[in-house]
Amino acid sequence: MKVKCSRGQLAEAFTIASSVVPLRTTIPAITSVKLTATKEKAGGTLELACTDMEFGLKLTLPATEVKEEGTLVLPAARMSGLLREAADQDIGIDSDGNIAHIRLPDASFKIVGLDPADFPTIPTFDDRAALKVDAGDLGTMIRKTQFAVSTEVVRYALTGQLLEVKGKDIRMVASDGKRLAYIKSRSSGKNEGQKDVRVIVPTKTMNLLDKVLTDEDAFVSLNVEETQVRLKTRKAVIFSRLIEGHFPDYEAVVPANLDKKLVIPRDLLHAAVRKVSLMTTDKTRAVKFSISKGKMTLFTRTQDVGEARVELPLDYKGEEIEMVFNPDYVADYLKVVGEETVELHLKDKGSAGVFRTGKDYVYVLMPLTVSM
Amino acid sequence: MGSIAVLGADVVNKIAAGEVIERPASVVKELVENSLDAGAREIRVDVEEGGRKLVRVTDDGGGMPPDEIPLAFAPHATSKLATADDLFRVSTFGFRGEALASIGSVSRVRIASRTARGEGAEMVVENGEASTVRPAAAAPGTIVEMRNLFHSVPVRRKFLRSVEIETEHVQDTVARFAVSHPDVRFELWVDGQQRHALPPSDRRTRIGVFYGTELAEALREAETKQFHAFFAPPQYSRVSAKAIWFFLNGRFIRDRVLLRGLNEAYREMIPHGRYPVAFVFLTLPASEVDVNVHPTKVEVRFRSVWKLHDQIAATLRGKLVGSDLAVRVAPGALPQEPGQARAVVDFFTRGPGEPPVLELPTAAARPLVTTGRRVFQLHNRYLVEEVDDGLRVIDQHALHERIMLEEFRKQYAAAAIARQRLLLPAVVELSKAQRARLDDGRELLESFGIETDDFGPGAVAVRAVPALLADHDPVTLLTDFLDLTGEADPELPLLECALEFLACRAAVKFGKKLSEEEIARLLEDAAALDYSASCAHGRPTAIKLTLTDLERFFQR
Repeated sequence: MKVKCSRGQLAEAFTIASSVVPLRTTIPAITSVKLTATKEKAGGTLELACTDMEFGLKLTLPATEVKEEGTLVLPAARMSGLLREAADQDIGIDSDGNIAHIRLPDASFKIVGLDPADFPTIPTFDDRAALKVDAGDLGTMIRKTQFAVSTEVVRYALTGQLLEVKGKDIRMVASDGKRLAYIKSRSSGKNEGQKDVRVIVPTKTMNLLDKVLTDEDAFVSLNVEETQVRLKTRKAVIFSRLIEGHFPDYEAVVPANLDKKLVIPRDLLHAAVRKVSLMTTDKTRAVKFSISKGKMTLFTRTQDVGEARVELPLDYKGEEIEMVFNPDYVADYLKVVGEETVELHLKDKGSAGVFRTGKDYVYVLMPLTVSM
Repeated sequence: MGSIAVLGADVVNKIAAGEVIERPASVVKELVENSLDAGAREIRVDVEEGGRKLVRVTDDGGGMPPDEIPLAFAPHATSKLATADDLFRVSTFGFRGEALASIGSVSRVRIASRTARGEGAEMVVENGEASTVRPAAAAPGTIVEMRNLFHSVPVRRKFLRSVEIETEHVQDTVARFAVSHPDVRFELWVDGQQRHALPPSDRRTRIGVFYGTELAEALREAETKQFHAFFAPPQYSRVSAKAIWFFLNGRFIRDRVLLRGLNEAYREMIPHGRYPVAFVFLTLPASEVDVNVHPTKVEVRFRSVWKLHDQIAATLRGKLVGSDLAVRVAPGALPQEPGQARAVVDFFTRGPGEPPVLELPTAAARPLVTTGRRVFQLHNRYLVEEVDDGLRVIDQHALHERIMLEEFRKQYAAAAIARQRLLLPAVVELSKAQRARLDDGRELLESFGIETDDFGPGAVAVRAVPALLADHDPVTLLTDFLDLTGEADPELPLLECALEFLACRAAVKFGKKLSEEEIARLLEDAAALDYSASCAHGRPTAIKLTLTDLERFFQR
C-alpha cells in the first residue's frame, strides 16, 4: 500500500473509530483498525474498518493519491495519538508487509501492524433490500429521543431506541420507565413493497450514526437481518446487533384527556429550571411547579442547602395545579426540543405530564411525590 | 423414717461441685479468687495436662493459721461473710465458701499455708476424706494443689475436652484476672513451662499481652463514674463475642443486656455477625447489684441494667463517632504475596513524573483541585487521597453507601422520601414466600417510596420507586428486598434492614468510573457526616497509611 491523504480527515475518522473499538479485550485484532486503499480514477479512497464483534463500522474517505493498493491493520489508539500530534498536512502511509511507514513532513514512524488475515470480516451491505430514510430527520429523531433511553441494563429492551418504519411513517421511541420520548416523521423516500420494520437499536449504534451523518447525506439506507441492523450513509456503513426484547406499547402510555394545557416559551422555562436546580443536590432532585392564573412558580427546598423560587408569567386561566418533577427530566427535553414554545398538558399531581410540540413530538414524564 | 433419704454430704458436695467446677479452668478461677481475697500480690498458676493432672495456685497472700485450714474445706464456711446482710454487700470473691469444699469432693487436694508470723501447716483431702493437719514447711501465703480432677466422678471426666482446649480455658481465666488486676504479678506455667510472667503494670499493657500490642495501642478509652472502658476501633472486630470482657468490681461477668449495649455502640460500624473487642470495668456499689444469682458468679443481677446499657452505648458510640477511624495499615500487614507486595511497593515508590507501575488510567490520576488535596481513582474502585499525615485509600462504594444511608435516614425521619412514579409500571411475579414478606412489609416499603399494586394472581406492579433509586430496575429492587428480608438477621429491625438495603443499592458501584466532580462531591458529603468510617453493613470505608508507616516500611 502506498497512499497519501489529508491528516484532518484521517484523524477524524480515527476518532470515530476509536469510539467503536473496545478498551479492554484479549483480542488484539479488534483494538485495531483495518485500512484498505483502493485506486480510483481520480485519486482513490481509504477505508477504515473496525469492530468489537457485535458492532462495527466502515468509513470511507478520499485519498489524495493511491499509488499502490493494499491493506494494513494498525492499533487504533496509537494511530489516533499520532494523528493528533501531526501537523495539518497530507500524510503518507506505505506498507512493508504488516509494517506501516508513516511519513509526516517533519517525522516518520514505523508501526508494527497485524496480519490482515487475523482481522474479523465485516459484513457487506446489500443495497437492493434497503429501506431509505431521510437522513436529516433521522439525526433529529435520534437526538430528540436519546436522552430518555434507560441506562439500567436489567430492563434490557429499554436500553435502546425503538425504530419503526411503517410505509412512509418513521417513528422513534425511547423510555427509561419513568418518561418516554416519541417522535414521528414521514419519509420522502420510495419504500414501496418493503417490509415494515420494528427494531430496538442500541443507543451506541444510534449515537454513532448521528456522528457519521453529514449535511451531504440525504438518505440513510437500512437493512434488518434477523438480529442485526445495517445502516449506510454516503461515507459510512454501520452494522450492529439489535436488542432483542419487548419494547412497551408506547401508544398506551401517552395519556389522553389531559384537561390543563399550558403554552410556555421554551427559553424562559429552561432558564427557570436551571436557576431553581441550583438549590437542589444530586440526592434531592425535586422541583415543584405551581401553576396558577397567569403564572408558573418553580420552587425547591433542600435541607442544609437552601431554597429557590422562580416565577415566570404564563397565559393560563385554568384550575390551579401543583406538580413535582425531577428538574433534570424537564431540562433534558428543553435542551433538545428546538421549537420556541412548548405545550405542557397536565391532569393532576399524581399523573403524567405531557410536553408536546405539534403532533409528532411527545414527551411524557411521571411526577415525583414528595412533600415540599 | 420414710423412703426419702437425705443425701449424704459428699453427694451434696459432688452436686455442688458440678455447678461450681465444670472444668479445670473453674478450679483455677475459684483458687485465684481466694488468693486475691487473701491479699496476694503475686499469684502463680501451674497446670499439667490441661489441669486434669494438676492445678496448683501459689500465692503470697495472708495465709491461714493451722487451725483454720480444715475450715477451708467445710461447705458454707467462710471468713468473708459475717451476717446475712453482708451477703448483699459482698465485694470479695470467694464468699460462698463452696469452692474448696467442692474441689475437695472431686479430686485430691493438698493445701499448705502459713501466715506471715505463724507456722506452716498442710492438709490433704481426697474424694471428700480429709487427713489431719500436719506441720509443713511453707512460704508465707497459701498453696492449693489439686490432682486428678473428677477422678472419682467418671461421668464428668468424660466431658472434659482435649488437653489443648482445657489449657486454653485456663489461659483465658488467668488472662481475665491479669487484666482485671494489673497490679498483681501473675505467672502461668503449663506442663512445667512458663507461659506468662506478668509484672505489675496497667490494664492496657495486660490486654496487650493477650491481644497483641498493636490492638492494645489502638484501644480507645472512656471513663465515667460507673465504668472504665477500653475498646478497639471497629476494624478489629471478631467473629465471636469472646473478646468482649465485662468486669464488675474486678470480677469477670457475662450479661446479655450490657453486651447488647456494647453492640449498639458499634451499630453499623461492624458487619452483622461480627463483634467488637472491648474491655469494660464496671465499678458499682454493692447495693446496685446482686451477685448471688449463680454459683460461679459469672452472671449477676443489676438493679438498673438498662441505664448502664444506655450509658455504655452512648459513651462508647460518642467516642467512636468523634474520632478518625480510618483503618491504619501497619507496614508489617502489607500483603506478603510477592506479586502484590511488589505492586504496592512499586506504587508507593514511584517518583512524580515517572509512569505508574500499576495500570492507572491517566485521566483519573490527575490531581483533584477541589478539595485542595490530591485524590485519584484507582482502578475505578478506590479513591486514593493525600491527607495531612499520609494517605488514605477509600472504598468508593462503602463510603457512598454510608452517605446514602444517612441521606435515607434523614429523609425517612422527615417523612420526605421523594418517590419517582413510574410511567411503565414494572410487573413482578412473586413466589409465595416473597408474597408473604411483601404483605408483612408493604407499609414499610411504601414509606420508603416503593409502591406496589396487586396485578393478577401471584404478581404485583411496582408503581413508584424512591427517587434516589430512580435509575434502578424496579423489579430487582423489589425482589432483592423481599429476598433479603427473608434472610435478614431476625434481631435487626426491618426498618434498619430496609435503610441498609436502599443505601447499598443507591451507592455508586465498585468499578464505576467517577468524574472529578463526583469524587469531590463524595468526599465533601463524607466530610459533612458525623460518622463515615464504615459502610451501612459495618465494613470499613477507608484505610490509612501514615508517613510514619511508610518510613518504617522503607526502613528510612
